[in-house]
Amino acid sequence: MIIVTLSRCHPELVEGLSKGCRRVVQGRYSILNYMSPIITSFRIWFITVLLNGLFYAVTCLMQGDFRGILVSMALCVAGFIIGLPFWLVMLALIEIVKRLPYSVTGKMYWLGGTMAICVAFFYACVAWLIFGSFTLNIAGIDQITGTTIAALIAALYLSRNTFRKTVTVTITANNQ
Amino acid sequence: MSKKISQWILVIAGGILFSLVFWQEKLGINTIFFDAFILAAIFYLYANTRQNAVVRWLVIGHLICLAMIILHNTLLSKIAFVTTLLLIVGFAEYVHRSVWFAGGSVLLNIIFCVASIGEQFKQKKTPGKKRKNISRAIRFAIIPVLLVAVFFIIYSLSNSVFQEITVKVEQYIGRFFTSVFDVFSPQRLLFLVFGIYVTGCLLLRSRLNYFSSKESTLKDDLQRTRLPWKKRIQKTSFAFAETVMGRFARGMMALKNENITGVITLLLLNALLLIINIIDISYLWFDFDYMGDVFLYKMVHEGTELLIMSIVLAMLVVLFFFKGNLNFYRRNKWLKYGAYAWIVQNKVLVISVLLRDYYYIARYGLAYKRIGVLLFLLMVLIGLATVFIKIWQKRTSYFLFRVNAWAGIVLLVLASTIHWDEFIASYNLQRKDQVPLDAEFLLTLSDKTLPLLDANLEAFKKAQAAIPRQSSGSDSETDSWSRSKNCDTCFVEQILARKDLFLQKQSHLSWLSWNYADAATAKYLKEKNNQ
Repeated sequence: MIIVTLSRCHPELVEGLSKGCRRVVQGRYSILNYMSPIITSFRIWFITVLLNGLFYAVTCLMQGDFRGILVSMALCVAGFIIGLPFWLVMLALIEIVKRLPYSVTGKMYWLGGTMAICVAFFYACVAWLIFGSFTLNIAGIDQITGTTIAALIAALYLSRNTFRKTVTVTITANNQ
Repeated sequence: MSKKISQWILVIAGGILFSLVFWQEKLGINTIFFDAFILAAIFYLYANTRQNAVVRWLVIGHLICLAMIILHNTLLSKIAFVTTLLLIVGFAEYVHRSVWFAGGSVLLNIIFCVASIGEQFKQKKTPGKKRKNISRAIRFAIIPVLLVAVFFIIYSLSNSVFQEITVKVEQYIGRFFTSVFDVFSPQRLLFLVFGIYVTGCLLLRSRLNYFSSKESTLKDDLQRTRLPWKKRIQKTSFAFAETVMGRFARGMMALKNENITGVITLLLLNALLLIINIIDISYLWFDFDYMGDVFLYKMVHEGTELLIMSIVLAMLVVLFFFKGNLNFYRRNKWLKYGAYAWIVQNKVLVISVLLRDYYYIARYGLAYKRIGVLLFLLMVLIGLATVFIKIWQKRTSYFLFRVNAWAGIVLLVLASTIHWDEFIASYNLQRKDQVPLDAEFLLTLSDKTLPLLDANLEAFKKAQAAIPRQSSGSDSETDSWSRSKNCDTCFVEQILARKDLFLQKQSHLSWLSWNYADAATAKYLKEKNNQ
């Protein structure tokens, strides 16, 4: 029995494995430790929204704004509703990241960086709608952008094992 | 030191250098420091590129652009500087011959820079036990922190003494973090991160070789391909030809039919263009009075853009007919003659457009768009010459785009050696008696033109007097800047305000932003103020 780790194969498509995978894996297959991108993206997104509320509360405490803690709770609830499209964005990005010829760490960095740009863009759009200028340099907007990006990075760190299982497929091949 | 470690160190060092030399500064002498670091790092990390002739030529062009940043500090010199630097990166880190493909590879570097930076930390793992402890502490802290926060709010709202204590603590924490952020401002840290990103884009090669592998399959010389029928019908060009020509696009005679269509097309187009050229030569080339007839002036002005578009379309028409096997068809003699005639006629058209632009400049002075037309026509002439070479020597479209892109880069570097704003201002002001003074336009030019504008203040006063003053209620204001903001035609006030603003801006910059253009302007204005 040979255990081959293939980071660029698509586990759902065992029948239609790509050329490289087909050459290595022959016979019966069983996919171990595989995490679906849907679950992984949901997990990262969920933790990000939770941590965003927490981090926002902490920054409010740092500024001595105790009422901001109430805002952070509202932010948490609103985040699950308004931030729902971000789950889909993350899902699409995980699907892309699986195909990149980088190590798991490299892929995780890329996902984090790209999502951070998406978050910054989202808040800049919010600022444009509310204040009429496409910028993050507005009191409140800069704070929430910072906390969301920090929460995203923390969520990625906490979900690193799940992420690894998603982008790395372990296939057990029986060569008998 | 392994390459990976040195890459990591260089990226961090480059980021720090970037944040040190560019923070709240403009591009000036600081560019030399960062550029020297990046070039040295590229030649150290990718040692083979030292022998690469293309990279050497690019370095020469890049150094010219760098010198122009110090000398002129124009937007064009900055664009040329960045373009040549990115091309050096593309050609040093990947195997390329074409600017387009090298640009694509650099784009991949930019997109996947974060992943490339992440790769540097791949094997740098902290001990497992320590990491587990941190992770456990974070997980255990989430719920208690949330609960404490909730009860903290309730107690602070219900107990006034507790609230008083919290206010004092709040003020203390606030002061502490204010003093911390004064030293390590978040903006400065973000700028450092941006610097690391920029350095990473320049030094770290992406793992995707998409554009390199694509380009490796392309050649300069056209090869005759005998495609099977099944493959040929899948091509877009075939679908287009079949839609237009129907059954004549299929079968043994398809190539002959295509040749006949091409000959007829080029014959008709040549005849049409001949009429246009005859009209242009008779009206524009000889004895054209550009100072007189307004109707003719309108024709000159409005026709230029369409004629430029027609020349580009003409090149596309020729490329369409000579895209494939028609190049190898034995009886394509008349098609080739037609194409050559079409190219020659288009060159005549270029001269007509050039004359239109010349007349326009002679009557109304220089402007960006008019200079842009001149440079564009130069590119069109090179383009037409390369189209001729493509047909004559049976070259591919890849050759055509490759050569033209290099011509574009050379032109960009050469164009950056001229301070166009100063050139425009001095040309127009020298001819202020023959050419109407477009004061509003001249006031939009860069600060380098301020001494010129200041020396011709009388001409602006005249132009100002010729326009009826706007009723803006600005009479009560004494400050020149606030006056100029309210009045579009207060040219003299605007010049004075710009002079003040320039000196004010200069006072905020350090020696790192030094450049000859700003230094000369500041010196002139200071001497003028002292008089």
